[in-house]
Formats: sequence, C-alpha cells, structure tokens
Amino acid sequence: MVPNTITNALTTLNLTAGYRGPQQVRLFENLNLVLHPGELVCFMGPNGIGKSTLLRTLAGLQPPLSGEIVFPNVPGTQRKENYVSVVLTDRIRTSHLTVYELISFGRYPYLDWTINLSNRDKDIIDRSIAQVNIERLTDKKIDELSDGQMQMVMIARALSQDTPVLLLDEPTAHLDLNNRVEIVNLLRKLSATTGKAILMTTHELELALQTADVVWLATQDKIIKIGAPEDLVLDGSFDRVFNFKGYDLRTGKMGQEAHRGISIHLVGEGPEYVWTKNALERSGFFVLNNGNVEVVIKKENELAWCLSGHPDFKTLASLIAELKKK
Amino acid sequence: MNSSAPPYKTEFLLGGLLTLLFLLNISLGSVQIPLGEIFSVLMGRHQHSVQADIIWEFRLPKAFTCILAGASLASSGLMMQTLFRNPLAGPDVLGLSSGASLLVAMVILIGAAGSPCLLQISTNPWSVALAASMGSILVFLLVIAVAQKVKDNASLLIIGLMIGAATSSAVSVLQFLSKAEDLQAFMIWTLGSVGGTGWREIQVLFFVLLLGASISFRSMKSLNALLLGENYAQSIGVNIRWSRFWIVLATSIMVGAVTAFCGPIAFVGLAVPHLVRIWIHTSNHKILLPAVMLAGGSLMLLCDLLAQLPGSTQILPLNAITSLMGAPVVIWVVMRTKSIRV
Repeated sequence: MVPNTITNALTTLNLTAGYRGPQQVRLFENLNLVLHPGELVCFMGPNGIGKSTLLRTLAGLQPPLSGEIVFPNVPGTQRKENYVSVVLTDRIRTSHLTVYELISFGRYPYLDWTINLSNRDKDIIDRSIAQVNIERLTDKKIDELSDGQMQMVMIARALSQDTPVLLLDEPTAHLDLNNRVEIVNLLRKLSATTGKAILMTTHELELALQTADVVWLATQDKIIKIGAPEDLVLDGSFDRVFNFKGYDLRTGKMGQEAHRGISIHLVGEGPEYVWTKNALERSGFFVLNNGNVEVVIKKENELAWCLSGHPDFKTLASLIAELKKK
Repeated sequence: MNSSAPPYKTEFLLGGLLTLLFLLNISLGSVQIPLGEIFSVLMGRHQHSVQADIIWEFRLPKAFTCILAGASLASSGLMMQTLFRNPLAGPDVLGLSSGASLLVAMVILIGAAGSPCLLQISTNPWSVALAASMGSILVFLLVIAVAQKVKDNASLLIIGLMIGAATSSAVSVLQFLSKAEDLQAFMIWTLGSVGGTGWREIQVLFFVLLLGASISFRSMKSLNALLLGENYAQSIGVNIRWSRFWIVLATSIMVGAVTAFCGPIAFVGLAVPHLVRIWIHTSNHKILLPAVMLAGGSLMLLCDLLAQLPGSTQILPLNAITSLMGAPVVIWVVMRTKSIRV
C-alpha cells in the first residue's frame, strides 16, 4: 500500500537509522512509519535500543543511513525546521536568558539576520505561552525555573516554531508525578486541539497506556511494532519486549501469592472496596465471596473497618496487622 | 522583548563612557594637556605648537588604536565564548595569537642570523605586522581545515588550544637559540603596545574591524541560537558548519590585525564580555555585540591611560596593566555572582 504522503504529517520510506563511523551501526532497518495529524504517539522500548537516535533522525539532526523522510507539500530540498520542532533532554546552561526570549527562539526559522519580531511573531509567541499556561513565568530568567517549569518553557518554545510535527525525547524524565501528569495532559490537549502530530519517547508505561493514541514499540529485531496501546497489551507484545518479572500487565498488578491461611469475605463498595481489596491482596490474603473471615467497610461519618470480635479499625494498617496475627 | 530596558540605553551609556575615556586618554600622560586645548587643536588652531604635535602625531593615533583594538578583541572574545559555550574562551583560544607570535619570533629572532638581506627584513617595521598576519592566517586555515572534519565545537576548541601549545613551544626553541638583544626585542613585542601605529595602520585596523563586525552582526541569529546548544540551534535552522566558519573567520581577521600592530594583548577579549554580561544581564547578542565593542574600547583606553602613569615619563607594558587590572575585577565579579556562565 502506497503511503499517503500528502495527508500524513510525516512519512518515512524504508528508513534505516543508526550511526556512521568506522563501523556502521544499524539500529533500525527499513522502517515505514507514519505520523498522522492530531495523533499522540508514544515511542517505547528497552533502554539503549536507539529511540533517541531514531527521534534525532526524524528531526533531521542526524542523517539516516538510508531511506527518506517525507513531509507533505515540500518541493525540492526540505527545510526541516519549518516542519519539525523538538524538545530534547539537552540542558540549557545559559544564564541571563528570559523565558520570553527563549520562547522567541522558536520563531528563528522565520526571521532574517536582524531577528526582529513582527506582530505576527509576537502573537504566535503569546499564543504558545497561553497554550502551556506559563504566563506568570515570562519575565523570569531561565536559571530561576524548576525542572518542571523549564520543561514547559521548552514545549512552549517548540510550539512557537509552529510546526505540524512535534517530537519530544523523554519529556517526563526526572520530573515528579505532578509535573509528569501535567505535561502528558498538556500534550494530549495539544494533539487534540492543534492538530499537530506529536511523538514522544517514554519509559512511563502507565502514562503511555492511558494517553497514547498509538504506541510504537521497538523490539529487539530492529523493527517497530505499531498499534493501539491496549492491543499491544492484550497480544502480549509489551510482555515480550519488557520481560516483566512478576508484573502482570493485563491485570496491572504485581503477581502476589496469597500465602496466608485465611481468606477474606469483603463487604463494601466503590473506591473504598477497591483499595481495601488491593491492600489485603498485597498483604497476602485471598479476597473471595465465600471467604472464612468477614470484613465490613463502614462509611458513616468516618471510614472504618469491622471485624467481628474487635472494635472498629480506623486504619487499614491496623486491620491488616490484626489479621496477620490470626 | 518585553523585559529589556529602553532600547539602546546601555549603548548610550557606554558611548558616553567611551568618549570620556577618549578625552582623558588624550589629555593625560607625561604632559598634561587641558581639555580646552584639545578641542582647539582638533578644530585646527595652534597648528604647530608642541601640544598639537603631541596630539596629532602621538595621542590621537594611540587613542584610536585603543578603541579599534579593544572593540576587535572584545567582540572576538564574545564570539569565541558563545561558539564554544565556554566562559574561559578568549580570542586566543584558537591559537591565532600564538601563530602570529611564532612568525614574528621567526622574523625577529633569526633576522640577524646570516645575510644582510634577512637583516633588512627583520628591521623593517612592516615585516613584523606582515609576519603576524601571516601567522594568524596560517593558523586560521589550519583551524578551518580541521573544523570541516570535526563534528562538535568542543573538539575544535581542544585542537585550537593544542595548536597554541605547539606554536608556543616552537617560540621557546627559537628564543633558546637567539642572541640577547633579539630576545629583548621579541619580549618587548610580546608585552603589547598601542603606541607603534601610524595613521596608515589605523586605517587597516579600522577596515578589518568594519569587516569583522559586519560578519559578527550578520551572525547574530546563529550566535543566539548557539546559546541553546548545537542540537537545538540546528533544529531552528542554523547550519552549524557555516556559522562556525563565519565566526572563526571574523575572529581570525580581527585578532590577526590587532596582533600584527599591537602584539598579543592579554585579557581584554576574555574579561570584557563577562563584565558586560554581568552589568546588563543579557545574553542576547543583538545587544551584547555593540555593547561589548564600546566597552572593549573603553577598557583599552583606561588601561593605556594607567600604563602612561600620568605626570611621569615612565611607561608600563600594556599587557601587564590589562592583566593586573582585569584579573582582580573578574575574580570580584565571579565571587559576587557565585556562578559564571556564558
């Protein structure tokens, strides 16, 4: 099937990526990949397999070993900077740059040597700032920012470059959970509202499973498996690639062996039921409908757990400590 | 940019500083010439007085040389610091002044070795200038040739430093083999001087600064982009190979010309960009390049002023003053800001 290079945001034709040098190292071979507008793609795979290298090749930062990368409606030589913008793991070590100045660098492909920003350029910069919600940061110097804030600024910079494709290399690495969630949600929103094709490499399995439209999974044999995240879970691709030890991806739980003699009949509902069940199973108890010990979750004024013959337990920890004694 | 001061306020202040130092430089020295006299001489009166001679033949050329040399060295230093992302880089980091020194050493130190023909060459004042220029050009060609083969700028920096080390060793060998008076002549050259230039040399310096400055302004976009690192710079459309070539070219011609006429001037190219960056808190080359040129000129005027020891006839070597003044200032500045980055 001939790929539709006009409607795809990016198409690769028999792309082989890797390193030249004294010996050629081929990391991926004969890839025919496609990025569609409005899609969020998570590119995953074991460490060291070459995800960053492929991303840099797609961005035009290093040449492919063979094959091509095609953008729509581009006659003759392609000026990649108008089509692809990147957010990398490189640290910016310059002092004295303000956030606004850094974001304005995204307009450089459209400016001449005088680097004068037109009104249109300023509008695009302001729009990028608004899309990332960092208005309160614009006048700060970049060395005053936290890691999470810096990452948002780099995304705003890439947005101001106004390209159909946005590539991000490990955008959530080294960030705390709040920031990771914020960034992934931002990327989801951007792919949905701006129609950009967004590709990110990541290790965060849970975030990818919940947010990606498409997953590219790099396997050991230099090819990439492509599909919806749930498809790759159900057909075992993730398991094969990652060799999870004791972690069952389908149920999303670490395999536990119920090693205690008693089984629990748990009465309750809603999130309290789910979390209580998790805690009990984590501690090694079976939770069954015909379990021999009954635990009832009470939710009147406060949350409490009832075990017959004992006063109500106010915390799960105390309940489990008591159960372990049996 | 919504955070910068009213446009060109800094350039205005620096321009004022430059003018002030220019006038001071001309008026102070072994003979003190009051300001009023300076203006009347410049207007064309008192044509044949002693003061007029001093001003036209000696102090004005010296002051102009200071400004041109200071501007050239400071802008070269700024470009080198940005290109190599290294706060310790200066205009001599490519080995250009070392290469110039090597050829000047060859001219001065072996001039009297044999035939009267060589002696003729070594005593011709233009020979030194020519030798220095050729030395810089040769190093430049070597650096460019290597730059084509080398992927990242850090490697280029190391190669430039090694070229500097190699030429310095060659100079040591030449010094070892020379006579005392030749050694002293060479040593005096290495101390740096702005007093040896006539109007013709100043024209050359001016033309070279004009050319170098034009190239550096044309490269403003690349220089700013390089602040983000080579990967990001490439992703916004900067051609790393070409920008490297132009930046190295501009630096080479400016450093070559200054070294040819003033000897290797220490410190100015390294210190001025830091001082300016810390004073006006920006890394944007659109503001920094003109500011650094004005500040460089001012610093040279000041150092030359101090080297003159107003009132006495004693003159101190220029490089001693630039280093003695510059080093403590940079140390103080670094300790105040606690971290210094390009």
